[in-house]
Amino acid sequence: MGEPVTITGVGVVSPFGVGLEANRRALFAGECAVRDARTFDPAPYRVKRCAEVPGFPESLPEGKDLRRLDRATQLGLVAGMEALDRSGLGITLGARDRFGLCVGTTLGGMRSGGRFLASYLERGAEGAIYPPLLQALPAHQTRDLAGRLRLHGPSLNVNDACAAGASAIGLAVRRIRDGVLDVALAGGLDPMSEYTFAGFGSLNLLTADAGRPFDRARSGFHLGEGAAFFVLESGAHARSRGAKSLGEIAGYGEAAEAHHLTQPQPDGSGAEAAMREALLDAGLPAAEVAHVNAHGTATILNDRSEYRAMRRLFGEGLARLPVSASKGAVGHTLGAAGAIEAVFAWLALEERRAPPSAGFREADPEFEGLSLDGGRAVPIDGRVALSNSFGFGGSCASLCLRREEG
Amino acid sequence: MRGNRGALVTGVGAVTRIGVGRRATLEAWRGGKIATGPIEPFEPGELEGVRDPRRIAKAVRLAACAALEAWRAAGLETDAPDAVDAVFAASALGCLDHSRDFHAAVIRRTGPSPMLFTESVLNATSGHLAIERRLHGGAHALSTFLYDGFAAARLAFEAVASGRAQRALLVGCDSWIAELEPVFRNCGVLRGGSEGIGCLPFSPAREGFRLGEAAGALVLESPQAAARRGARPLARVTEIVGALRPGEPGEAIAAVAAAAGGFPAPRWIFPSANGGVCEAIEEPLLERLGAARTARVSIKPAIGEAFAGTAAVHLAFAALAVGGESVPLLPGSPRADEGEGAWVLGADPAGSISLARLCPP
Repeated sequence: MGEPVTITGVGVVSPFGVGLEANRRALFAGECAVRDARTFDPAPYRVKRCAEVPGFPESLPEGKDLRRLDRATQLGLVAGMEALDRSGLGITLGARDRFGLCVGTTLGGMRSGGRFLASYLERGAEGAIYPPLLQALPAHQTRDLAGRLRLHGPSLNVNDACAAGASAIGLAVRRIRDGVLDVALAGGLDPMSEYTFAGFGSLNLLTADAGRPFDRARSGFHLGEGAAFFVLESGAHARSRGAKSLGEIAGYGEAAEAHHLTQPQPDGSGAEAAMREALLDAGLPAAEVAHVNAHGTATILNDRSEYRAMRRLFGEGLARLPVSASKGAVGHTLGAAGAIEAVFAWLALEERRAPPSAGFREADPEFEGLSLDGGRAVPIDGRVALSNSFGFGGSCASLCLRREEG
Repeated sequence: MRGNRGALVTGVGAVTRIGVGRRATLEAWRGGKIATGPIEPFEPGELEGVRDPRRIAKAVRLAACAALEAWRAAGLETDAPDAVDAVFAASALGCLDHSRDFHAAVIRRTGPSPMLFTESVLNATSGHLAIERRLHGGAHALSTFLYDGFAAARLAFEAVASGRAQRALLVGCDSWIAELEPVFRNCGVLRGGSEGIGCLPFSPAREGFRLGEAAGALVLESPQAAARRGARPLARVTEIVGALRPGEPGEAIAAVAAAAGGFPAPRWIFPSANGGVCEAIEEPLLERLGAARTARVSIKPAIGEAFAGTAAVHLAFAALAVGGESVPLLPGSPRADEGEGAWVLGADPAGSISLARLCPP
């Protein structure tokens, strides 16, 4: 069992909008943010829709060259600034040696990489525009964020595919417990990109219908984009500065499926191992869990694997456990998903209700006892939630969040 | 770091253009061989256990090969599941060759291959290692700064030194990407001339570096776990310190100098200097640490710059040096007849600096 790490700040940018309150409102209203693609031309593709952050980057503040940054960095910067602002640490303090940054991403600056490559293919080596190529390197976002937010502790850029955001938060928790850091800004980011749109499209994982996690008619997901960050502190550090606790990351669990690069372990053993480890790390029994934010990609294989894992972990108790899956609403935000959805799980605990799972209509009969609601929020009876994230490479991560008493 | 118990190095592996394997690389390096650029062909029989290796990105193949060698050197059974608790794989460039080819097919509308997409994901290395070696603990992929490739080393060290993991595998790999040559040339950091001339770290005549490709791997183990199975450690990683001051290398130097100020002088220093961009950081750092006259070792003149790959190769050869192997010193370096253990440095102009300290076990 590890020492809980205190949450003192939260920031989020998702297809629901910019900022925590915009996300809170849309999440519990059961809105769906999937629209026609706007940031690239979807004409060549079977699926034309995705979930992009509305009004972005137009809503970025002027100055400081923010408009020149890669969209990934822009998203991360806005979410990170909100989290820092809410934590009371501010964004203009001096150098912070033990304040680290942990960023999860699957793409990094792949949009910039695409700009370089397009120029290279069109004009050859002599005429290519090279600066975007360096922006495409994933660590570049970490450098830009650390520089602009003046976070000077040890940093990490975590690339555990669609579990990257949750892994980044979990690894930050460990580094705080190990005494490597006092404070961490930890989360994930990923922008919309034609690269991933074409990639997931080539794998037939994108749906032309709605995203319907755990539904009998599920047929895949839409891509999304966004960023979310938590400010995490050791309890001693938070208390020493009189910071208000917004809850805890009580536990983190991880596992490798060691099965296949893209297909989930059919029996869900990796997912189950990650959830069990998160609870063990938190020192909590499964019966304490009051809500699960499922990874819920709405693909046939992933949802089946995750259901089997939850069923084994919670047994008959699964029927009384409100489960939510948000990818029908905001799409699959890839490396940001583990962080955005951890924020949604945190919101659920704060609101004491599980958000509706947009797109869900009728449970797959195979998922006996699974409790989702597609249209309304459901009351939560307890202070503990699990947030699951799984990805290519067999990466499995689960975060255990706990609300303050009262 | 709280409760630091250190981590023993019980096995290392290396793949470079001058040799597939640590022994072949070491002998070629001692013999003065210089070969930068891509390793071609690269179809070693050592890729045992990797299914259909031709489909996977070059960096992943290099990493798999180095990891298997480290695995065997550590005396671990290759067919036993969960022989390590955690995998940490680092790269600065990722699977850029595959993502370039997939992206080009997207731009040209020529029907991109799903295989190229799935094999271009940034955690392909850690994923493949977990699959091929049947490892069910955490498998993490980390992106590093170009010249400070220590992200995986730090996390692997923290996992073992904290007692959270008994045994961890760390891998650093980067492959040669043709399109990067003009980028670095435009930055004025690539040297021209004959391919038989390597870079000249710290030399007044240095003219930049050459690009190469490489992978290194280390098995880190707790003293208890190593003792239980009778493993023979090469070296002990005692600390890895670092600082990040984006755009302010001077402040990063001061921070690392403060963090490493109490370290005893080493016998060898493996700098990240490559005749190009790292010297301006490392010279003043070593001066501040009183180590400006310590023997310097670098494989970069022999194999070129391979970012996270050379960082891991340096860690591997530092462990071998501490364990008793002789390593070639840089031209003009002082002799290695004083001090204890080795320091391995990473220094990126973005203001990221790392220093790993290795001692006899």
